[in-house]
Amino acid sequence: MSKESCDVVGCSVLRVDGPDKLTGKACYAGDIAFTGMLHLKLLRSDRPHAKILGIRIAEAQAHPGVVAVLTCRDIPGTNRIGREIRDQNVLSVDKVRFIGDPIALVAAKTPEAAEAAAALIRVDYEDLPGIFSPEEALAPGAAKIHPNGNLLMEQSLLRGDPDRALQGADVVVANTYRTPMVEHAYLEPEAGVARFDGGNLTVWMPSKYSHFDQRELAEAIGLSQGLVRVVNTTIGGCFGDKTSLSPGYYAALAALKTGRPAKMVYSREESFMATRKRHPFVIRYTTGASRDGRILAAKIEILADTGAYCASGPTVLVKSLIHAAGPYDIPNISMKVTFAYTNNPVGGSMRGLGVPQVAFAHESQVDIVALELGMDPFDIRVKNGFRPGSVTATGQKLGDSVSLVETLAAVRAEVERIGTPPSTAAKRYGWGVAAMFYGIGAGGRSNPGGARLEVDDAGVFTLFVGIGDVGQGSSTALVQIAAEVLRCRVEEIRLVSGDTERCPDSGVTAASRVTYIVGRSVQIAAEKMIGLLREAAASITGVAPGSLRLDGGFFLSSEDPSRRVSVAQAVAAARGEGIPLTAEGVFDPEFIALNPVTGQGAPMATYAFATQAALVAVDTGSGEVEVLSIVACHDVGRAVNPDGVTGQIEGGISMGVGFSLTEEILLEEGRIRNAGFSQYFLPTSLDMPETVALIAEAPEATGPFGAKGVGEPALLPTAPAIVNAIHAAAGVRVKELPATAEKVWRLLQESERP
Amino acid sequence: MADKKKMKLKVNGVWREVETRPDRILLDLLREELGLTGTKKGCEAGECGACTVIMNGRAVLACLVPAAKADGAEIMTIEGLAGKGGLHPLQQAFLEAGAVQCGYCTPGMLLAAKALLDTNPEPSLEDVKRAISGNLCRCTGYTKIVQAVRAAAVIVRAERSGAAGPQDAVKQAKRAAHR
Repeated sequence: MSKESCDVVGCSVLRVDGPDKLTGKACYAGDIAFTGMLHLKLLRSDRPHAKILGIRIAEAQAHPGVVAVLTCRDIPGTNRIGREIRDQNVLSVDKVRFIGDPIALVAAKTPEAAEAAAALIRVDYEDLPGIFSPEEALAPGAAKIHPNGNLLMEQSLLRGDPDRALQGADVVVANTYRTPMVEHAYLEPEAGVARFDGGNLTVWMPSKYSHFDQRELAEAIGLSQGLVRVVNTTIGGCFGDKTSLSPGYYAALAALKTGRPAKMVYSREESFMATRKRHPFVIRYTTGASRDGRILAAKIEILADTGAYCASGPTVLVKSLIHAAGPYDIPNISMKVTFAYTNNPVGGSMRGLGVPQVAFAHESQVDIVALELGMDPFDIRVKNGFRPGSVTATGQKLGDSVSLVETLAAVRAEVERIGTPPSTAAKRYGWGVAAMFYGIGAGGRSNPGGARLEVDDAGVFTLFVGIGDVGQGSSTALVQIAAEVLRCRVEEIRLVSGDTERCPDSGVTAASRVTYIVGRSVQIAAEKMIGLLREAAASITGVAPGSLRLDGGFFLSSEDPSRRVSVAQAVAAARGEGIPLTAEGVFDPEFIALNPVTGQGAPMATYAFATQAALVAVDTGSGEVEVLSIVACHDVGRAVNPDGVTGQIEGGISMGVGFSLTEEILLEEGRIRNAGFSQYFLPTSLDMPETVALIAEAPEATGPFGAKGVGEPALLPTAPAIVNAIHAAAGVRVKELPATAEKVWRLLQESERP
Repeated sequence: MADKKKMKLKVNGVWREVETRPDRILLDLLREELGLTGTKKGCEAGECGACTVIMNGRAVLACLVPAAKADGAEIMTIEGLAGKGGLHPLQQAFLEAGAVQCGYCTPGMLLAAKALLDTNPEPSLEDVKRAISGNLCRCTGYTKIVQAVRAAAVIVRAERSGAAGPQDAVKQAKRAAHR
């Protein structure tokens, strides 16, 4: 597809939600209050694995201000949730599986009373053996966390003959990599508010998928779906979390049972303890290459801790399998990916869905192979990197929208321009590079996204999408796409999003899919809307519909520009003829599901590509690593909003800096030891490097105006680029994230030993 | 539980009288008793900066200030930052620089930046980074926030000196960041 000339798409228009967020008017769930509203507190398990023998609530019920104390017996519905496997309870029934499992819900007149009463609930437990690693979980005779055992899922992949190829390789590199459990750490702790009026339940909550939450919570608490409305509030960050079993579910249950409005807000500690996390991975990786730098084979084994429940485990597993060989044309590959249950916090979806973990491994491997061969790290990536028509590990032949090599060239030029400061004995400087590819949307399954457009009598368009903006700017991008098709300004389109009563199901805000999939649906709906209005305009002017084009609120005749009809006139004419002016668009990208044995298929319709390079300074005395510069270039197909894209890249880099250097959930027998920002270290403004964010555009034919996605790709190359830079600077190889000062210092000590 | 106490504080230019428990934190007083929910609650432990407001000219964390301490104080929250003529230069610069994503850190970030510019109208890059270093942002990587604060400083200085501010201060700041 050629690059279309656009007026709105491709411009950094101001965010549609900017003014409200800048003036304090934006409404987050925690800002909602109703008269007579009850406040909620959960009693959560303080045992990692135990049978519940009894729950004594009398004392809590008698506490002043308490209106209700609810346990699993009070739930009229299925009490079960889970997007992929329904293995989790809203309130635990007979067993708890991690520290934080919900057991009883207190509804009281004040938050203080709810908290005090929750502390009065007594649970009689019978402890079961705790399992805190996937290795223990899969050992013979291990205690069963779920009735079917501790294996959540296993998937293999085979392409070519990797054993034979490794035998013929000139260099073989084998290493084991480990990545930690990571917290999403959005700034807005989870919150939800619900009202039950006249038999209808309304739930206000930050949700990355309100239609799913509507279905799931209705069934779990025992209401028909038609009686439940989920309204998305402003989302204060999500990064993959904030769906399923969030406070909105408990607010809904309490409102249903008490008939009063109810509100629940997590404390920061509860947000750490109770919500999902990035899966920790152990990755065993063998790579073989020829003397001239061709990567011939890769053998990859991944073992991941999925925690106490399934959550998004299978999605993360499949995504890690699809991407574990990296953006390289490798003819011989085998993989085995295993996810096991443990009594640790639940692994969920988090920005990158398993790919940040494998990107750390494949980019370390490529770097090590280059070193062994004496090759330049850019050259080896260019030599093996995907091009249009390359074949991925799953056997998928890529289309035309592949700009990996261009991103490598752009980053290399910028790195050469910046240069490397001279190292001293105390401070060593070095650049590292890393590349990535990332499939846009769900892997190997259907994931449609609906959009609807309406127009009022004044000719003003309203776009309805089920999707919520998690902060990444999708609302602005979707409005831009609509405005581009409808040839008007962004301000002339109203947006209604994330309200199950008014919006179509657009699928989930995840997998970097919103701009590509929902954006394409918006484009389709807008084109249909023009078609409807053009017919009406043609009947007014008497010219053929084909000779009318829409611009600036008017249909203009190409033959006679003086014959013009406003959108409002066309609306009136269409209504007069009884034509309904509603246009719907649904795009569901094509895919071929993965073969369960060979892992072969075409799981995603399109992929994003990127390269990042990091300049670090390593303090040889303390082991401390400072990231000085990051240069990033991302192939996004088409940047709908360039400032939005660079904002995603810069934010992804900060998350990558945290992933590589400081962030790690510390566990002790399933208990989080660092549940707060004074012990869990997010990058601050002082930790951020100078960043250069570049955009490459290889238009994707199936995307809206050529767009793909960028939200998750932004983070993927950062950590491996930093780790490779640490090696370039100081000669030590970090194989276990995060690269804390202590870890780097130890490696420096070991490297100095004779 | 402590008894309620009457107190008076000037919030966004208006004296308000409230009756509250003196052991309440200023953050809850603002959000729940004065309905100023623009000030955000991120951690209640002074670790994230989301609840930053300006009290008697200084940026403070409203979750660490007992309400009693605010008796007689002058406070600015995000609701008071925009003037009658529209957005404050900081808000305008944040909008134009693309410095807002999820928006949850934004009110605190803006007030931390306002407190900086009030005392240091010509901040260096390092000054800006330091001034907002207690305000966590998980979305932006701070890059565009820092650009926006520096651009706003130019506009605020120009406004103070009576000259018209450079219209493209944000663009200039963006270009400077890429050099």
